Amino acid sequence: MYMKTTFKQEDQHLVMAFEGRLDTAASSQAEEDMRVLYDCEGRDIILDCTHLDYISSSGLRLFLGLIKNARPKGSHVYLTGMNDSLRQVFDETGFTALFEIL
Amino acid sequence: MKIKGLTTNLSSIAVLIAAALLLELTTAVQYLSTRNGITRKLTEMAQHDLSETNRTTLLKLDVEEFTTKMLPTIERLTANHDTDSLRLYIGQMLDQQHEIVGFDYCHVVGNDKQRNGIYIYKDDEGKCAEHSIDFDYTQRSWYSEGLKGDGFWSEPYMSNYKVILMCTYSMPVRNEQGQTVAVFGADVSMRDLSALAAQLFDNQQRSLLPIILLHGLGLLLLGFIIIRSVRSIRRLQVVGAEKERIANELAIAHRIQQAMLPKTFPPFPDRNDVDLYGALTPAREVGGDFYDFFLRDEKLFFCIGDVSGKGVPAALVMAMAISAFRMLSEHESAPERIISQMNDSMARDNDYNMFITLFIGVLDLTTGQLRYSNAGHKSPMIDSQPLPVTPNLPIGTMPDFQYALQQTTIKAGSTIFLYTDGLTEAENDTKEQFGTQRMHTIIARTSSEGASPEALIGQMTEAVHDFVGDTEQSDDLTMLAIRFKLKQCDNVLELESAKRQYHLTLPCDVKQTTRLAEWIEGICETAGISPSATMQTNLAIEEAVVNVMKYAYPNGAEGDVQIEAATDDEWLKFIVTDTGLPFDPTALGDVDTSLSVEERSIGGLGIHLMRKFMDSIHYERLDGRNVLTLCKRII
Repeated sequence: MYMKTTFKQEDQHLVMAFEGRLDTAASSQAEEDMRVLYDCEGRDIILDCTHLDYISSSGLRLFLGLIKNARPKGSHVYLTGMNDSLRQVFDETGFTALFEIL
Repeated sequence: MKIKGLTTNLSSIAVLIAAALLLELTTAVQYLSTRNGITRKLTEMAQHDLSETNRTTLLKLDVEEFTTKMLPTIERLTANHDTDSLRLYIGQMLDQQHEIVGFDYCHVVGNDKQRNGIYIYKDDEGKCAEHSIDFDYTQRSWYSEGLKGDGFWSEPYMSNYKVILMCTYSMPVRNEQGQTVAVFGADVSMRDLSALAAQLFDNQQRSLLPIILLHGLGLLLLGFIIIRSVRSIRRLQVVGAEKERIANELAIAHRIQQAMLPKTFPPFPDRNDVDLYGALTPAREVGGDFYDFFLRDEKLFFCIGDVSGKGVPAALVMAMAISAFRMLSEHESAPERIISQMNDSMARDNDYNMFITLFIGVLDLTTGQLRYSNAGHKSPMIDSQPLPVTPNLPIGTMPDFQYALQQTTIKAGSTIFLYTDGLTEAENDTKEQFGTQRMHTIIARTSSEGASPEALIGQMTEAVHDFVGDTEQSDDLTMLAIRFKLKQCDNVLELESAKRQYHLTLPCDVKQTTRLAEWIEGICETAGISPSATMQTNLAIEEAVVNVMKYAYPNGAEGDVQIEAATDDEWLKFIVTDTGLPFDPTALGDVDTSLSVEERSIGGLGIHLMRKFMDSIHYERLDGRNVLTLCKRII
C-alpha cells in the first residue's frame, strides 16, 4: 500500500506519473506533490496514470482542483494510461468529460 | 332544463285550476237551473190547476150547451136521412165554435156489425175537413158511454187523426121512436195543456244547453289535460330512458377511465426503496386529469397531467395522453424527449385547441437522481419545498417546442408530491380557494410525522373535503405521492446467518484507510469477487469511513469507527457504525456530473461513488450511533 508520484518537465509539458493508490490516506501527500503543477503558466499538463491502481474521491478532488487552476491559464490537462477500473470511476463521476483523456 | 320543467308544471297547474273552476261552475249552474226549473214547474202547475179548473168548467159548459143545442137539428136530419145536409150543418157549426176541434157522428153498430162514422174537423189551417172513421169506434169510451144518454165527458186521449190530446163530449142521437141510432160527439183539444207541457220541456232544454255546453267544455279540457299529461309522461319516459342510457354509459366510461390509472397500492410490495400512492377524484363521471407510473431498469417513470376542460372531451384527450406516455416511455428514458414527442403528436392535429399541462419525472432508484421535464404544470413539492421547474408550454400548444430537461437528487426518505390545480383551486361556498398555504401546512405536518404517501394523500383529501364542505366539486382532484428510500439490504442478509463475518475497528484517522483497504481486499478475495467489484467496494467503504472521520468526529475529535462485514453467495454487506455526531451521508444531494469544470464543486463525490458502486445504502441513527449499511450484490 503506497502512493508515489514522479514529476518531470518536458519541453512545453509538465508530466506527473502516479503509482499505487491515491486514496484518502495518500491524498495529503499527493496534494503536496501536485503543487508544482499549479505553476503551469499555459503549459499543458500530462498526468500519467499507467501505474495508478486506485483513486478515491479525495484523489478526484485533487484532479479537479488542478484543472480548475490550469484552465484559466490556458493549460490543458491530459490523462494517459488509465486502467478500466479507474476509467469507470471517471465515467461515473462525470470526470471523463472534464479531462482530455488519451 | 330545470326552467323548462318548471314552465310545464306551471301551465299544467293553470289548466288543472281552470278545469276545476269550470267543473265547479257547471255544477253550480246545473244546481241553480234545476232548482229554478223545479220551482217554476211547481208554481206553474199550481197556477195551471187553478186556472184549468175554472177554464175547463167554463169550456165544458160551453161545449155541452153548444152540442146539446145542435142535437134536435141532427136528429131531424138523421130522420130525414139527409146525410149531405147533416155534414154541411155540422161543418157550419164547427166554424162557429173555437173550442171544438172536431165532431164525431157514428151510427150505432147493430147485429150486422156494420160501422159507419164520420169525423168532421178543423185541419192544420183551420179549414173544415171530413174523414170517415175507419177504426173500431165501438171500443172508445165516448161511444159506449155516449150511447147511454145524458152526455158524457171522456178521459183525455190521443186523437187518431191529429197529434193532439183531446176529450170528447158525446150524446146519443135518437129517432122519432126514441131509439138511439147514432152517437154524436164534440172533441175539445187539450192543446193548452200540451202547450204548457211543451213549454216546460222547452224551458228545461234551454237551461240544459249551457250546462251541456259547460260539460262539453269541461270534458274537452279534461281530455286536453289527459292528452297533455300522457304526452309529457311519454316524453318524460323517453327523456328518462335516454338519461338512463347516458348515465349508464358514463358509469362505464368512469370505470374504464379509472381502470387506465394504476391503482393497486402499494404498487411494488416487494420493493423497500419506493412507496407510492395516487388518487384521482373526477368532478364529473369522467375527467381530464391523469397520473401514471411504472418501473423500468430500476427507474421509476411517473407523470401527472391535467387536460384543459372537463367531462367527456377532456376524458378522450386524457385517454390519448396516458397511452402516448406509456408507449413512448417504453423505449425512451429522457423525460424531455417523451414530453416533446407527446407534444408534437398532439399539437399537429389539435383542431379543438385542447392542451395538457404535464409533468414527467424519471427517478433513478439506485441513486435518487430525478430527471424531469415540465409542460406548464404546477411545480411538484419535494417534502416542504417546491421543486424548481421551468414552466415551458403545456403540450398541444406549439409543435416542435423544445422542452427543457432538469434534474436534481432526491434525498432518501423524501416524498415527492404531485398534484393538479383541482387541489389548490378547490373552492368553498364563499369562493375562497384551498390554496398552496393550506397544502404546505398539511405537507409540513405529514412530513414531520414521517407519514406514508397514502397517509399524506388521505390527510390532504380530508383537509380539502373539510374546506369545501358541501360545495360541489368544481374540478378534477388528482394527487400522486412518491416516497423515495434508498434500497435496504438488512432483510437480504442477516449478519448472524451469514457465511462469513468480519469485524474491524479503526481509530479516527484518515491514515488508517490503508488498513481498511487491505481488510476489504482480503474479504473480497475470499468471496471470489472480481478486481473491478473489489475496487468499487473498496472505494465505497473508504468514502463511508472517511465521511465518518470527517463529519461525525470533526476537528480531530477522537473516536472509533466500527466496520462489520458479512458475505454469503449473493451479497456483500458492510455496516459502518460510530458514536460521533449525527451524520447522514444519504441526506446529501448528489453531484451534477454533467456540469463543466468551472461549475463543478469539490464536494459530494464520496456519496455519489457510494451510491454508484453499492446496490443499497441505508442510514439509521440508533442509540446515539450512526449506522450506515451498504450492500453490494456479488453475482
